[in-house]
Amino acid sequence: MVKYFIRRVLQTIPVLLIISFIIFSLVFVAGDPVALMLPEDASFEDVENLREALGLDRPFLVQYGSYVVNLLQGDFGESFRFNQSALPIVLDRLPATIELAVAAMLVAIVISIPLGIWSATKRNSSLDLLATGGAVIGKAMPNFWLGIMLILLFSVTLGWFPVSGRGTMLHLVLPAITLGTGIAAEMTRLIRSSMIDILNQDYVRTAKSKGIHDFFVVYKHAFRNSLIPVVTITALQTSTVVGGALITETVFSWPGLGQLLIQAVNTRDMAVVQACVFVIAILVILMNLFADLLYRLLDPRIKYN
Amino acid sequence: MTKLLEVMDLKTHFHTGSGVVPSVDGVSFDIKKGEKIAIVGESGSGKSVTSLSIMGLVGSPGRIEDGKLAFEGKDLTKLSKKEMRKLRGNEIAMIFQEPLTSLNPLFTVGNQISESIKLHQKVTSKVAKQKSIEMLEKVGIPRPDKIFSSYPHSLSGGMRQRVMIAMALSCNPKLLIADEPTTALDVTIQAQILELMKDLNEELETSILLITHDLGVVAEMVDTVMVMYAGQIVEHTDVYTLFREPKHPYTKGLMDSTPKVHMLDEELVSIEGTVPNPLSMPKGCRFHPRCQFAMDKCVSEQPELMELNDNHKVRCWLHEEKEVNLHDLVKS
Amino acid sequence: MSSAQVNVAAENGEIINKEAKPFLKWARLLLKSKTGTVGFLIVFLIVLVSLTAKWIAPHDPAAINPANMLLPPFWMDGGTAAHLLGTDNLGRDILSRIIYGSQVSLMVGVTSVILAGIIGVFIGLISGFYGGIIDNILMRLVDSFLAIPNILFALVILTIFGPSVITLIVVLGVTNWVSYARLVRGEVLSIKEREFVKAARSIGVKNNKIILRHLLPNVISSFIVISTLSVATTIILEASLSFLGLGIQPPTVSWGGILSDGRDYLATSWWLATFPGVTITITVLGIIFLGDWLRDVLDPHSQGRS
Repeated sequence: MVKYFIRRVLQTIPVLLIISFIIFSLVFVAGDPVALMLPEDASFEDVENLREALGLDRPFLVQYGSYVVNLLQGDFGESFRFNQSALPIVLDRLPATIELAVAAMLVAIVISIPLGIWSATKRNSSLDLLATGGAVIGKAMPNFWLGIMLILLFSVTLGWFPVSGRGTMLHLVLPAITLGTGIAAEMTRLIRSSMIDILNQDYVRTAKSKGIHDFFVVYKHAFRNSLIPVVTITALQTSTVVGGALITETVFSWPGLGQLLIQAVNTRDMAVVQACVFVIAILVILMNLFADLLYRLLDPRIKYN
Repeated sequence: MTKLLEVMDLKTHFHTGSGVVPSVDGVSFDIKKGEKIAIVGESGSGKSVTSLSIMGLVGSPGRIEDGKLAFEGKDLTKLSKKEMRKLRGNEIAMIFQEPLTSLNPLFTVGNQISESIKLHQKVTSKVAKQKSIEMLEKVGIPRPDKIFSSYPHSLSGGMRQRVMIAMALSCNPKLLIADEPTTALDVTIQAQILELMKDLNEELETSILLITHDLGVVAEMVDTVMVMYAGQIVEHTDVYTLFREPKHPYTKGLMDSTPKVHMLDEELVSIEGTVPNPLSMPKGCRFHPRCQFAMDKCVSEQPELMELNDNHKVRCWLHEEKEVNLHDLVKS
Repeated sequence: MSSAQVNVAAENGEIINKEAKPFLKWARLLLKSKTGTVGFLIVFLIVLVSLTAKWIAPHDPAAINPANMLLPPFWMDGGTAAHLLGTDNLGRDILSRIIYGSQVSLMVGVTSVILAGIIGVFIGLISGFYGGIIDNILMRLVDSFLAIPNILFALVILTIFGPSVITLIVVLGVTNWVSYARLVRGEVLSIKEREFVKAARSIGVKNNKIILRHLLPNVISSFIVISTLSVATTIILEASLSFLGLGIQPPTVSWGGILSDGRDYLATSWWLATFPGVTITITVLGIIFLGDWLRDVLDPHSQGRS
């Protein structure tokens, strides 16, 4: 098992290399940063000197090589807005984003597990219709709009929660619900269809034939089995969830990666943008690894060779 | 022998979107203590639904419409969910066709066997484990303490079915329902499993209700046979009489389509046609569209299950006036 | 058709279907599914609205009218029938802006999905055909794209190249090709394994020819389903980007843009942010319903799974 995970971790290296290549190429194509760095009346010679000093006159691949070497040292370049190295700025914002994502995940789990199971066990009941209908509407609603509507209702009209910012638990409620609803919608659908599938399995009938109470048939024998596909597919959607977090943060002025990223994008602070992309990609890859681990813990049938 | 289970005029219907399917349509029989009895039929004949009805496991949209299931005097159809659960796995146990899929892949063999024992006998985990290992040993599993803690996927099909049997018999049930227990297994394993069931029947005096489509299995296992067709019993007799002298054309058809070792030179004959669509059962005898002996009466009137003698019942107009030998009928 | 005839038709469905024209067959299949019918009607309506926007919009979506600033919808105090859904901070008619906004949302959604399909099919074909190291590299490329959230990737590209409709279409196309590539690659690999392909190869027939001939019928239904559902997610993505100010730029009207404008007036004029959001939700809902129905009809294996 340890071997398997070492291999999985090694597999992420080419992925990170490809990401770095894509990002570098994009920035390269985007054009010369020198023009932005020098005053408008700088002479041609000044420009050339600066290019040479920054190593921008070297061939593409050489530049890429030194770029990768810098990345390995955690050097994503200087943020000209903050006048400091980009990575610490990004890492500084990371806890806020993780806090939001964890809270949203909790909201999603609390909503989707009971709802998915109930609607699967009571198919075509009014509860089932409500759950499946709710799930599809939740999927169809743009995340940011749901956030705005929640602000409109609970902050502006009712005044229960702050409109924006981070600090208290109250601040966390609306963003977590906003992001959690989208995830819950998808997970409810998944759990429902997976449970329906599992409840028709022979071993569920066996469990019933042993005289086990329906509750334990559902929660002991069926639910754990139904989680296997749910974990796999949810893991594949980590990047969608993180994407949702970025927008949710913007709506609620949540001081996480998303907000930082949008500011960096608007000011064309490329070092910060690049550092954000890498940190988020690593986050997504780690989440996928974690889901893989969970999946293997859940299912004893999987072998490691 | 005393009657363990008496099934009286059982009707289990499925209410589907396109109409009512009478999967079991007025079935009556009884099982005595220690008896081995079989229900034979093609898929869709209602044999499995009959067994699930006894277990109280007919799922929606199916429902027991009518009839009585008297188990030691108690009518199973009248029991509460809780009382039924107490009986299930304890006094009536069941094993299924696919040992591959009938065990939960996420729990160890031991967990699944001791689950029953703990539930019905209210013993500690330690005692339950001991009992489980004993049961595994009894069904002929080598190194039972090792198998106890392994997962189903690491066992062979035959071993899994042994585990299923150990699980089913762990609470000394009075009745064991075996739904096609050997269909999914290799021929040599089949024989072993049947032998095991026979031995346990003798040792524990568990009555066995065997559900199968395979007359070969029937011949090897049971005392009494019922042949089901389209939700009804069409013939009911002891196993020797059935093989010597089948009275229903359907039974005869089934036999002619089963290969036998001593009939190498004879041709296998399959029954023409297919099982009728349960949504539009033929009028008259349900078998008449496929019956080589069909008469006018068979098309218009449905035959009752007629008693030829104490131990032979048949649902066929041929025998209305006097008993007819089907073998002679073919020759003439 | 009278109800008696309908019953007969239902009973003899098989025979009728063979005789009926394809159009009628599809219509009958559609009417069988409530959500499918609703989805189709919504999509049909939105397409119709966007095609006829010029004629059915009550006002010029860009017409500024300071006299009518922030009018509420018609049923509220101060609302008028001239501006059914009210007006925005510049006195522009919300309903007209939503009607015109449908044009760009649908256009961007559909064209970028087509682009994604072309890229994805191409990469999937190459990956499946050649296998080995090329396949390995392309699949790592797929992994890379899966590790970067679509919206993040889109933001980066839009930052570098600047927002415009063309950039947006390209960006959304480039971020969405992965599912097509996986579908086509998987199908190519499975065709390659089939006996007749091996046999044909052994007598010297080129792989490519066989695979192309057998690929299309096998992927076409999944392709349609993926595309339909992709249009839905793309519309949301486009709205998100426009909301962030990096998608469709004024003066072009987009749903995300109207929503973004309305955000500043949440406390006083709720309708600005509400109606475009409702429109997006209903549109996406319609497309999802249609897509789910298509999957049930085209791919019998997945029936009942959703």
